Amino acid sequence: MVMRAFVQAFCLPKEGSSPDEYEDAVEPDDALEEPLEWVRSCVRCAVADGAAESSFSGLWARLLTKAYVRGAVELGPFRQSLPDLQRSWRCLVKYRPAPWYVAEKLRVGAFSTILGVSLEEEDRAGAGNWSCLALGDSCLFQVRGEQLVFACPLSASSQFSSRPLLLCSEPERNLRALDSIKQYGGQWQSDDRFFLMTDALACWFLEGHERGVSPWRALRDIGTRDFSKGFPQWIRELRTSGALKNDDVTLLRIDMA
Amino acid sequence: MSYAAEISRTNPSCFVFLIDQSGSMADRCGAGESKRSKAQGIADAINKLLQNLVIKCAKSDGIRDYYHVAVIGYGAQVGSAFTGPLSGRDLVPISEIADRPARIEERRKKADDGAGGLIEESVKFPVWFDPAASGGTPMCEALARAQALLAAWLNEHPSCFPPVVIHLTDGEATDGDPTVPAEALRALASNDGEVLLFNGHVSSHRASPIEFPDAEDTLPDEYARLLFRMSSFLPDHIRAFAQQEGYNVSPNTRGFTFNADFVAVIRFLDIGTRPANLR
Repeated sequence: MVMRAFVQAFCLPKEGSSPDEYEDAVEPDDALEEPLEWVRSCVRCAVADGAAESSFSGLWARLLTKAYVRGAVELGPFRQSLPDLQRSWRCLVKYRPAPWYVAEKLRVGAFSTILGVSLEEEDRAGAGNWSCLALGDSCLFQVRGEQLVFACPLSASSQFSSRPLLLCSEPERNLRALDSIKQYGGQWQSDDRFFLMTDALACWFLEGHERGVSPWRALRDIGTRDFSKGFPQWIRELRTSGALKNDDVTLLRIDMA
Repeated sequence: MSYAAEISRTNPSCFVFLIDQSGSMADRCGAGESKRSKAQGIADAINKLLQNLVIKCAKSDGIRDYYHVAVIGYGAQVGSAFTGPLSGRDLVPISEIADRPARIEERRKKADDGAGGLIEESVKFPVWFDPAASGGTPMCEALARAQALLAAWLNEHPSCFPPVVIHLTDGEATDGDPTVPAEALRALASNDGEVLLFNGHVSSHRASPIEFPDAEDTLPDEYARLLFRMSSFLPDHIRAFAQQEGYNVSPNTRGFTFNADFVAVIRFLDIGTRPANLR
């Protein structure tokens, strides 16, 4: 069976940083350019957030999201794909001339969250199963009508900190992290929406939900004619008002037809 | 007074290291059982702190100027204690510190071999500051110098994350009661909070190292107790990070160490996501 989904992504670097310094990653990355309409048997999307205190973490985040959407969607295959990704990261960074402090950062490695979701259709049209793989504080929210029906891996704004456990490009730093990758699953139906987002926006989302407002309304409308502002302007206003932490922001929306 | 200001290139913060270089620093660390002098121990500690601060600010495209840093020595004289190309400078952007050490030494370090054992590996050790030990201990003058430096900084950066002063000494001031200028220093503030004064007591006393105590009655001598009282309380978020790293802290915990280094303080500063699996 095939299903129809609309996929759109948005991103904005931290205020004061240039686009080159953006260290999140999103797949499919062409969904940043324009909304995608997919008619296919499986929908796979991912976001990741490279850690500010490591170097070349945007590259590591991109490698992780690409591996997920290429098929490493279950915990076992995803873990098995890591050695190749770690070799790729090292190959891509090792030929750059490096002063002593960059060399030290390379020795320590890069760190990133990973959040991937995979949706498949059941025999009957307009419904199916989804699975999610997550480590860190990038979050998935499933919204049905005006209800938040699932949130993972974090489900309360108080759970965010600036010290999450992350995946590292150096195997010896992953002992605890590998055991902490979580898998979730559920069912979707027509008109469900899935939102994948990095921590600053996810924290804002959960704070709004806890206050009884419906943060998904703005996220549902952004990029459509129902929303007058562009994503950058909307995010900057949230930052200025203090509602959103100044950080790289990435949002990916999946609308199930 | 929330200690919540973002530390960024557009809103940098600053560090001042105050270093005792008096004659008594030529004594051995830890009641003479160490081969190293207190001056050598402090030089290594400061170079390690600067190295950690640089690495914290390093990204793939270079260093981001999240901090400006001064190293003030006091002994025969009070003034900038940088050696090499930064000699004589006061507050220096961290990117300049990264690119202009006096020299880079190769040192041997024991590291985990990943199989439960230890291996020795060669590491680069940049040096900005050399040991020195002569003259009296003009601690009050040094604290006043830091106060002047930070008053000017705060005038230009009124919304910055409050400056951090790390003061390493054996605790015996020769120019008066240091609690008075220490109090004046701690009273300086940005919109985000008061200056943080952390004191490290480098002693010849044989007592075990102590990090971030919350009471003075466990401290081994009067100088340690004096420095403890001169130290700032840890702000809530720093205390939370310390707790996450296994330190036993309470609301009365102060930024004070006894014969221990201050590298943990660098980890506690928040410039963005720091992985929990990065120690």
